[in-house]
Amino acid sequence: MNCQTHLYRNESPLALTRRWFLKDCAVGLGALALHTLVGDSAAAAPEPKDPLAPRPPQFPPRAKRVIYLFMAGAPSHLDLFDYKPQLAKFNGTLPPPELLQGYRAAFINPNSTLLGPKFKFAKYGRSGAELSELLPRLAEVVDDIAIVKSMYTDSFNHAPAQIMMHTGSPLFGRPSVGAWTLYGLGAESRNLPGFVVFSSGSKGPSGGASNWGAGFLPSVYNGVMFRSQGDPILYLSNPKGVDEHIQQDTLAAVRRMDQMHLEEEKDPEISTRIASYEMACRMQTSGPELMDISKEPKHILDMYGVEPGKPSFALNCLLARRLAERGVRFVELFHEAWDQHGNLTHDLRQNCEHTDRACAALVKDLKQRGMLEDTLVIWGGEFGRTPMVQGGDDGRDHHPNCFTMWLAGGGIKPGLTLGESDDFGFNATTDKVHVHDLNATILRLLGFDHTKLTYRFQGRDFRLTDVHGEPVVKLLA
Amino acid sequence: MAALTEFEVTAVPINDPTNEVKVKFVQATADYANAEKELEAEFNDKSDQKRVYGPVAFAIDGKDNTAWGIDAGPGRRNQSRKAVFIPEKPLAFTNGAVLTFKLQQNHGGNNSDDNENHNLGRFRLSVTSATNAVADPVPAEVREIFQTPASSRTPAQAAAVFSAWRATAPEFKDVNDKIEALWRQYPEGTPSLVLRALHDHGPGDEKRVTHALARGDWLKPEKAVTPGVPKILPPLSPEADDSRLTFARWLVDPHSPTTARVFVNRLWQAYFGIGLLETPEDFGVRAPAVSHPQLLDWLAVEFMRPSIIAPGESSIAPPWDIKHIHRLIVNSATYQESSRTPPELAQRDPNNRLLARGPRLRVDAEIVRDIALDASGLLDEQIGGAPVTPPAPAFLFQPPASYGPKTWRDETGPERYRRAIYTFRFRSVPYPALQTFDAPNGDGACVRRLRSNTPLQALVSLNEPIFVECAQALARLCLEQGGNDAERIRYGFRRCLGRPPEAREMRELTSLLRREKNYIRDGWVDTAALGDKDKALFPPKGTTPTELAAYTVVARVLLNLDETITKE
Repeated sequence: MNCQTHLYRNESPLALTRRWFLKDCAVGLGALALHTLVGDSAAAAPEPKDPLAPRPPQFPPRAKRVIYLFMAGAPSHLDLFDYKPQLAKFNGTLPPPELLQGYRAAFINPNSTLLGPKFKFAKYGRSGAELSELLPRLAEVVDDIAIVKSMYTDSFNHAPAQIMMHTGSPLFGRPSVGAWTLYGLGAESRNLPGFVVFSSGSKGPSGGASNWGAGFLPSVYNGVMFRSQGDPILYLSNPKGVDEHIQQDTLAAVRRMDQMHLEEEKDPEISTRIASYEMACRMQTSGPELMDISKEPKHILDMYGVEPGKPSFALNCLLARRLAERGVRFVELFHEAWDQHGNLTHDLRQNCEHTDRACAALVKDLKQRGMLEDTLVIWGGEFGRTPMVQGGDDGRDHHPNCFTMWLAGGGIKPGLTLGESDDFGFNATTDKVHVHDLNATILRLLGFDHTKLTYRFQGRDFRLTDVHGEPVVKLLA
Repeated sequence: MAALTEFEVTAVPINDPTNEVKVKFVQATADYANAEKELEAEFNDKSDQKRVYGPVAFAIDGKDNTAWGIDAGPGRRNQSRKAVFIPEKPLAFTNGAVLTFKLQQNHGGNNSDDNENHNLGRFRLSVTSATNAVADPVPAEVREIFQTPASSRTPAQAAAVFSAWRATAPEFKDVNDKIEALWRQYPEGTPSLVLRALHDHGPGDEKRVTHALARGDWLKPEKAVTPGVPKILPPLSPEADDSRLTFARWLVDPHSPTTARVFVNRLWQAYFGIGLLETPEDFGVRAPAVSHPQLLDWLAVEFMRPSIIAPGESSIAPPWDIKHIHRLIVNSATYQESSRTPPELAQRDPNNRLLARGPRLRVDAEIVRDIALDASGLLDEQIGGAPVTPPAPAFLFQPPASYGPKTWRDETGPERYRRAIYTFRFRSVPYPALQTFDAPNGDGACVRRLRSNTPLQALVSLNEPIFVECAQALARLCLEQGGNDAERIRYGFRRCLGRPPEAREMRELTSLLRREKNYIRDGWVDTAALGDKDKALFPPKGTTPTELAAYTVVARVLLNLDETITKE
């Protein structure tokens, strides 16, 4: 049983058991609701088939949940993580021709001059990982994260590359990594959806809902978009004029009427429906409770950089932690802001001001609550940016050959910097990690052999990693 | 679609480069301009400014909110148009000048990099020394045809010239009016692409060579491929060409019953929840076994060559008559079995593959909504037509939820209550009320849905605006029905469940109504809001706002019963 004892450190075990059982334990509660409502007569009926029922993975997992910080638009690895003195040295000169053979760029003529890194770098922590001056907060947790400098992908435009990252194919129609996770593991929290999505930044991710879609998996595995203001969940509030008294009376009448029909029909789906209404009713409480950050101490709000009442990436990070505490399996935050074709110096600085503190705070906060052990945090975008300049002297184009991501917790080896790129950060060279390798690693940490988590569709067993991918063993703690 | 906000020209004399002159225009003519109208919603720039487009004079009026518009309506857009702008005085510079033309186009939406820019597709600029120049009223395409001597024009060219003349000839007024009236009925285009078959009949009609792509990568074409059919299925006839017509004929060839088998299996699935073959998308060798193979074959043959007269038919149905199969299925003893599930049957055959009982399943997403609309009398039964945009949360269509802003105006007319299949679907913003009930996102074809049963569904049917409006409308219907409370409740119950209530169900609902009437009468509730704010002040004759509000509560219960959205 997954009792999540770390969530309730300061509570008496007696209270904890009850609270956990009633509030956070889906199996317990679902079963409880079912048995009390169904009564003895139908107790012999088979368990209703529930596509969201929690189920164990194929082998013991290192991570029980995932928080994916998706930096849509593609951050510049060259200005944030992957310091290249040679690039600075050859700033303003043309790249070696052999580097560009067969290379296609999204917008620029590949034969454009090199652009040196725009920011100062230094080494941090015991691990001595190198980071840009734009990431001072990440520097504080650098020994808790693993940086992968040798990522590469197949697509170099935003929508296909984002969909590639999430589904293993640049074409839409395949399930996202969040949907696969829910399909594999089910949902632990039934007061909240098992796969929750937030979006901040200047606009939504260009890959749209396919990034958190269920593809050909059943729709129930879709990510559910939450709002960080007002009702987090659609249609959570009662209609106008319906107060608490009427709502309770309505739900009680629905329950009794369904109960009568259950006695006649004996279809266990009716008891599932009754339980669903009970859970919906609880969501009406747990939703606002999730959003109510008034009880978060000031030092926590400050650590994230949350301004109460103002939607922000920082607020979404805090909500992600609160969702993780409530057993939500997969939380993904999209922050589309990183497409610096121009204005790189200003915009990159601004983006880091908006995100660096909160990302680091999330890692710290999970760690201090003992949750980092089994929560996998992933940070990254859909590709990297060119070492060549775009426009005047302050922009970079899309670049699929090399980019950087970082991961933390959930069985990731902390303090590791994995992989290298060439002198210009153009190609990943050692310990290369393809998108499929990353996804295979995520599934491995969740307790799955990525080749065996499959879904038969149109006569073929599909998987997240298509026919590719190897878990990156060096990343595992 | 395009709109020209301002046409501006500056002239810089070559011998006096600092003396830039802004040219003042005093007259503008065009071969076409739409009547003045406000910009459509998709061009909303989020300013509160009223922005219009119409006569060509709008392009030289110095105003940023007016533009020359060339929207000739559906079927007549995207034609070359001309405008001539006359300056106050002729431009004359002894040593010549550099002219800079500025085509201001500010009549797009606020997301200029999306499909709302409202810009000219292409343009050409000319200058003339002619005095009193006006825009040539003869369409450019027709003017071009004049270059060809009349004797050597193609019939199409001759017809184009005649049409242009006919439109201006007074003696053709009646005909012109009729044609114009017909044009006005021309439907708006759909955004779907249509592929035209190419036959290798000369220039512009070359067949495209199709390649197998290495792992689907279009940059890595491998060997060229030609049309054909899988070898395990009956071959094409040797003399057939490789057109789509050949393929269509092969699909419905009686020697090739796969199509019929697949089709009747889908009809069966629609009624029973699971097909005779449970993978309707896969009839291949890796598919599971058919539960009733002889039945599937018999239905397929009966579909291709009807042999019996089903109830409701007067003679043998024609081949491939879908309704014939519907009739056979719904009139079958199997379909009419009770759906009651005794525990021992549930245990032996939980999915009812052996059909020992009738189907019992929650209906598909679209039908969930249609049931509520129909039970409440709100359903707009119009068939076909353009998709509609019933209410949806506005934030979903704006950044940062959506990549670009999307236009979604909640319908306010009867379209609000069209059947759910007419709901417009953005692939990137699935319609939430339907998605929650397992409607697929549209990323790919989906012929089999899972039926989930989640709390989010309960939230939709309890609180989503259309469902709430249905509860309000159903309450009104019950009150209008007249009679006493018992009769009214019975009426509402039948509308939702299609059967009369049992005594204990009546007791439950009557007591709910009584409780709510008392509670509402005590003044704790905003009766107007509960009973529909627009109309609640005018409840049906002889009834009170309190009654309407109390019945709304009862109607909301009825619409949320498991049985209401379940076929049994």
